[in-house]
Amino acid sequence: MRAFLIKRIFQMLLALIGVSIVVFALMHLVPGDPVRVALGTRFDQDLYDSLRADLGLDRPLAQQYVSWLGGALTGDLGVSFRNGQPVTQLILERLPATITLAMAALFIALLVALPAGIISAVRSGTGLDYAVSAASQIGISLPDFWAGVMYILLFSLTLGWFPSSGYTQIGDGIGEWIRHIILPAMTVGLISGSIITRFVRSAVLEALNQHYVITARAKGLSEWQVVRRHVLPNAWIPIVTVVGLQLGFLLGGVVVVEVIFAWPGLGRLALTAVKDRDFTVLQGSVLYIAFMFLVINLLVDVIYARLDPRVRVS
Amino acid sequence: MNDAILEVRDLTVRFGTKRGVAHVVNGISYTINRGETLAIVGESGSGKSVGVLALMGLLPQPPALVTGSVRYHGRELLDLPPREWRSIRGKGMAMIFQDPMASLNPVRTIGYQLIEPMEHHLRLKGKAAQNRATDLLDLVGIPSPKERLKNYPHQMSGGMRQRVMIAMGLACDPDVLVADEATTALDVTTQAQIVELVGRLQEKIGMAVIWITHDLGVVAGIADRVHVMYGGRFMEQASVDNLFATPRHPYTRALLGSIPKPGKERPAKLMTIAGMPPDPVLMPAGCPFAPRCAHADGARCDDTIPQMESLGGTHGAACHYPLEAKS
Repeated sequence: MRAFLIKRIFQMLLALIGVSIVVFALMHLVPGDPVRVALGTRFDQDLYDSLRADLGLDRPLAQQYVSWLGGALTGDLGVSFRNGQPVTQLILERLPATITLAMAALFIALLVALPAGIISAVRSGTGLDYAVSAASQIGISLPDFWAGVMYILLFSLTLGWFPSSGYTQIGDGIGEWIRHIILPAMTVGLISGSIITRFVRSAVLEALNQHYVITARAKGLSEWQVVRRHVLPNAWIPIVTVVGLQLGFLLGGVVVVEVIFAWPGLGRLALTAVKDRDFTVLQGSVLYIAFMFLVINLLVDVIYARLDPRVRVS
Repeated sequence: MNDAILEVRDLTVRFGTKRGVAHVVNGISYTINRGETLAIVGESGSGKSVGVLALMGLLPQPPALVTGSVRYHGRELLDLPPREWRSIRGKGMAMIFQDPMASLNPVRTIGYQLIEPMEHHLRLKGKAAQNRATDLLDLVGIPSPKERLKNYPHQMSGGMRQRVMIAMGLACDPDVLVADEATTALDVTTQAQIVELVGRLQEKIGMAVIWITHDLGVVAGIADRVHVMYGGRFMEQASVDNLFATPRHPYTRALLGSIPKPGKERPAKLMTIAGMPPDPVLMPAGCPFAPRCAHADGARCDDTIPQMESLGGTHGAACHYPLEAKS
């Protein structure tokens, strides 16, 4: 297990370097000059040149990359072109909002997807199964920008149960925190949940059709015991994969939902950075998102090894 | 009450399919006594596996429709509520399956799977269950059984896994063990070992065995009585000696003729049975074997289903024109 972990972490670092090169190259290939954007109508050639020199943009690309990478390794992602704040700090500030939203959304997603997926697989071909399939199809098809606005209309403007936007920290009172997070988490979570439901259903269905299920039934176990003790332990393996992917997306920030609900997460940070050609912030955000995906992938692999004894050996 | 453990009367299984109703098992009857081995032989698709799945209550209904009667120690099983049937399944009646690779759960240890029926039926837990599991593995001939409990199925060979399956079947001292093609997926030497093992265990424990197979060689090695199944019906039933010595049904004779015999001059061509087994959705109105039978008369055989008639003693055949007992 230790050798496996070390190998995986090494691979992860390689992937991160690859990502950083691609991100860095793309930033400098896309048209648009951050300094020009920052100066706007106050453009002055001398000021422009000196600003470029300050930011190191006049140096060769390779040199810029190496110094940026060197900084990144020590946690310094440079400063924002726009407002001079350290990028690391900007990202860290946004992290709590992003992580809490991601976790809340995933919680709602699993709360819906696990029972719905399992029940529709166990009762496959019945009306219940069709109802779940239809509901998850709707969930996948509804765009988040529309669903979010509808929830605001219904739950905050009409019923007045939840605030329509904003973020409070968990330290400022758990009640308020829940009231604020429910609508954005529901918007994202129900979409994720609909996707996960389909995977849960097919994973459970697949496991239900295996011979060992008949063996388990032949022992006299009840259908629920068969599902719990024999079907689910096998179905978890594909389910963990899709849940990991979904979590990766959520931790990268959900731009549209953050904009609708004025949620101060990473998605909005990245969006603003794109608009402002704020290279350093964008680079930092993308690097962070890639990092999150890789960490989750690693976690998924570790969980695989826990779930499947055949993986442990190889 | 005599020694009959299981009495099956007129067991019928139909499936609703898109093409129509599939008549898979069409009224089979047999009795199995204590300590006895009954073999049910047939080609694939003859309904032999479905027949035993029905008697174990392992066919989902729907799509299956099971009728007839299955009496276990005089108690009708087909009318039992699912809960009561579950209390018999795996305890009094156990089953082992064809493919030991697929029949064990890959993510559970051998110990977990072996102890499960004991926990479920006998409320055996902890050390006691561990000990019994170790004893069972030892009984079925698995070396260093205690260590093996911690193994996963993929760490064992096919023969070992089938031994584990048998140990699992024996976990609650059943009086009927149903072996559905239990040796088919194994290589020949392992087959012989498993057959021998079940025979030995049977003598020791006194359970009855229903052995489902398409392999007449296995039948000769293990069975007391044989039922030959075709098109969801029994074609012939006899003691194993009678069946091999004097097969009376044309199907049985054709089946025996399709086995190469060692020692004799190698035949120019192995006998085959022309044609295909009947489609269960389009069962012939008469004898299911008539379309492939060299002795069919083209009239009565095609119109009337022959009933099982005694040919003396326990030997019976379902044929309008049973063959003469020749040497």
